[in-house]
Amino acid sequence: MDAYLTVPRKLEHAVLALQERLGKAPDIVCRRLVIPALDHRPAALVYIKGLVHQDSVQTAILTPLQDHGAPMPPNLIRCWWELLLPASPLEMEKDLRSLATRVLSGEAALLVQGEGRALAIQIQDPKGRDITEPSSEPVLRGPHEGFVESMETNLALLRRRLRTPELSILKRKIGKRSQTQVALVYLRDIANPLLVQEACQRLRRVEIDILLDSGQLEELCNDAPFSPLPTMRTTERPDAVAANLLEGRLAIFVDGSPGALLVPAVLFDFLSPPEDYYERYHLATFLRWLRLAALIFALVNEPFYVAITTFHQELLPTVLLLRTAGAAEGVPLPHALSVLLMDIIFEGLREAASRMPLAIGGTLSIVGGVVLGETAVRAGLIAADTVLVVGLTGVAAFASPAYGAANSLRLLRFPLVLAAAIFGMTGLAVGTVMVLTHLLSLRSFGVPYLTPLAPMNRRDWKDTLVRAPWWQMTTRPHLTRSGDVRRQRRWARPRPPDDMSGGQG
Amino acid sequence: MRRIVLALIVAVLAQGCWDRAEPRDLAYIMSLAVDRAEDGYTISAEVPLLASLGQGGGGQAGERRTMVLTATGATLTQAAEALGRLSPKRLHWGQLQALIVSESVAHEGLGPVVTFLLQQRQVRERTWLFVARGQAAALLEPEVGLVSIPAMGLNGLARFTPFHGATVTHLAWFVADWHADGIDPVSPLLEFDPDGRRRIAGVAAFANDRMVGALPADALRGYLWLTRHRGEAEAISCPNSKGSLVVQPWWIRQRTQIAQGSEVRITVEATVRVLEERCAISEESLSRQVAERARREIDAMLSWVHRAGVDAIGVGQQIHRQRPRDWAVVAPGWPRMLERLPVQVRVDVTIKLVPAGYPFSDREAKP
Repeated sequence: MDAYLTVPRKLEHAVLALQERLGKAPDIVCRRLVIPALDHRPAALVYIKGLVHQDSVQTAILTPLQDHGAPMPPNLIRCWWELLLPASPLEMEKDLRSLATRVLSGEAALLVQGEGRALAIQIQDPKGRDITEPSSEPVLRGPHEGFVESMETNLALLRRRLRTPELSILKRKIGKRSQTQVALVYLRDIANPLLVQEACQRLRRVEIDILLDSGQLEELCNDAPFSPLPTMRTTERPDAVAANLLEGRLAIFVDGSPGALLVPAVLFDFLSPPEDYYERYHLATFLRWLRLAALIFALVNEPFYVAITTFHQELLPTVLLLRTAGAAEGVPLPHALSVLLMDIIFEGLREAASRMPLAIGGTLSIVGGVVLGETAVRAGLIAADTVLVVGLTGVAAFASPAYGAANSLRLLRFPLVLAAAIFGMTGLAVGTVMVLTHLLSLRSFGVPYLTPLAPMNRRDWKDTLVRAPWWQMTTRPHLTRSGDVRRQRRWARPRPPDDMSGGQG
Repeated sequence: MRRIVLALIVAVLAQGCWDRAEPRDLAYIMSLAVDRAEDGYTISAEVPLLASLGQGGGGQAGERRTMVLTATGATLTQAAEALGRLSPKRLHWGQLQALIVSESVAHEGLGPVVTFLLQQRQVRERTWLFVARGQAAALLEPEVGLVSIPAMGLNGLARFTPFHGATVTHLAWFVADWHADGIDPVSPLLEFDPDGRRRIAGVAAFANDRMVGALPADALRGYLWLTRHRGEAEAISCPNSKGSLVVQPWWIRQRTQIAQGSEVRITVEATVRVLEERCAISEESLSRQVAERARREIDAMLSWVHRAGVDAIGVGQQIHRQRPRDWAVVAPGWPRMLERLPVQVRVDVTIKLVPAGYPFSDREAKP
């Protein structure tokens, strides 16, 4: 292939060459026109219907070109476009290939007889949905805006929260065929330059034909490609991205995807949704502990149940054991199998419900939850406590605010149940140690996954195990070494004036 | 490589979960009675009928929830094996709530029984120990009552009886007191009352693991004073008028001191609560009466200790704690020494509460 091909000077050749590059398609429009101001030179406007803003073609290009009747003075003809098309952002393009790419991404190409170059006019139609609250991360308190599919809009949403010149945006295109815009966003004076360099390198390494969502990028830039645990965090909330940039993280936006990636991401990031920072800190701290407990519960509850009922009956309180044994009397399957079976049924129900239209979802949950569960127990096929254990595990798994982390843990419990079914508590202990070891070995962009527990950094506990009040969080977390460490002044605790009447007069 | 992986997988799957047991496949021994048979032991085990405990806790009131399996053998192990042959489910000792031994077995010594039980895997050391008046197996018989499982009834009897803490013994405590120097174990006596209900009748005292005898009623009250347990309420009659007062020890402090010349001085300080008041009495008079009675009861206990040579209240332990060196000298002959140990007792009683809420001084004004 030719490396660099300029736009031919002859209009007909230029149009043909460009059309050849664009491929034959009915939605490619080529409008012939004559520009009176340039001695009635013939010209052609090439664009793709649907990608450009139709009104802008008329008002921003055709009308100004036609209306300017008088010929241009020769000294100004060098930059005629600046006089004729002052309203639209435009760029000169000599390379035929990149011109074609621009047309394909929604710009209009104006080819003029004898120019040997083309004007790429940016009149893309920013078609897309309105800014709404992200359905995957709803909050009661806090901003309700969410990212949309358009990257420009998303970056604008972020800019609106970070009005600082230090906000850096590095853009590049990924996807041989999709040419998707990807933006790496960080705060120049806070983010660690090595981290930025690493992220750039990872993005550069990606060579894929099409990039549709940030989820693909997450897998392609992952630290531990075989781990079920996510080492990047996805969020659709501009406020979360802004807050994380201020903690020295990087955000990666993908055009066409409402989910921004945040790196590095450690385990505790998945347990603290943005709402934590807007609620009162007592409640936020309580909820953090609750989520942590739910996470551990979701992982070990079922294996623990299996191990204790099939190997260690003496550990159960007597009344509980008699209930369990009584409920299992006449049940055909052993405990471990019925737990696995119920788990698979539960996962099936969840999957079915998430793929169903909303109207049918309700019916499904009734059929699944009430009819199936109740009937299975009544018929004596499954013990009631098994249904309870599986149900509780499901609820606990979804108590994690990050869907990704919850999903991975749901998967991890299957091998643990197997280990518990074969080796009892020993199996569960060994399995848990293996999971822990894996957690300890994980790193996200160089940051250990269990930071700040291991390696221990007690200063950062103020925003992990507890959510310290805002007036105590005077420094940024030491996730990555960064320049500007201080978040606010020391001694920021609010207090009433010493003289109680002072406020009045 | 593939072969190694395969071998590993097979090794994991084929090793067979050897001690796996579904909870429904086990016969949980809830309580165990040990009686002396002609040549050996008869053991009776109460096991729950799981089907009656199943879905929703079903079953009607009065329905049998447990059954008793009985087997005899020359030794406890043989008896247990015979029991296993009777049971269609695997015997599981991990939920044993109560062990009842007959008096004859207790007199011979609980050592073999306790050792046998603690040898069973899974047995909880928190198993209540009772000595039965009469046949132990009879006391397992299901009763229609407040609890659905008779063994849980024994558990409740042990935990919620007024004697709780003073006389009730776990297997672990029994073993601890048995092997400890300067204290001998006790255990509650279980019997049927005239209406055929199980109740705690008294306290059996042991020398090492052998039952020596039951504490007489007044010695038992003395035992409670000395071991700082509240005991039951007593009626005190007023000197000048008819009627009586009901008082109960509320808070007791006991100190054992060893004076020079190895005389033991025991001080009991008690706060006594007045529960019912049906006659007028002054505070001093009341506390004097209570103190006198307490002293009588304590004396009864001490004279029982002297007679039996059994240190149920742990005087030796107190000496051991206070003067380890002296204890080392006297420890070998302690039971004999106990029989002629001079003891001085002092009882101080404070009256704490008055039911109607007005103080005694008002009472004294009008005789």
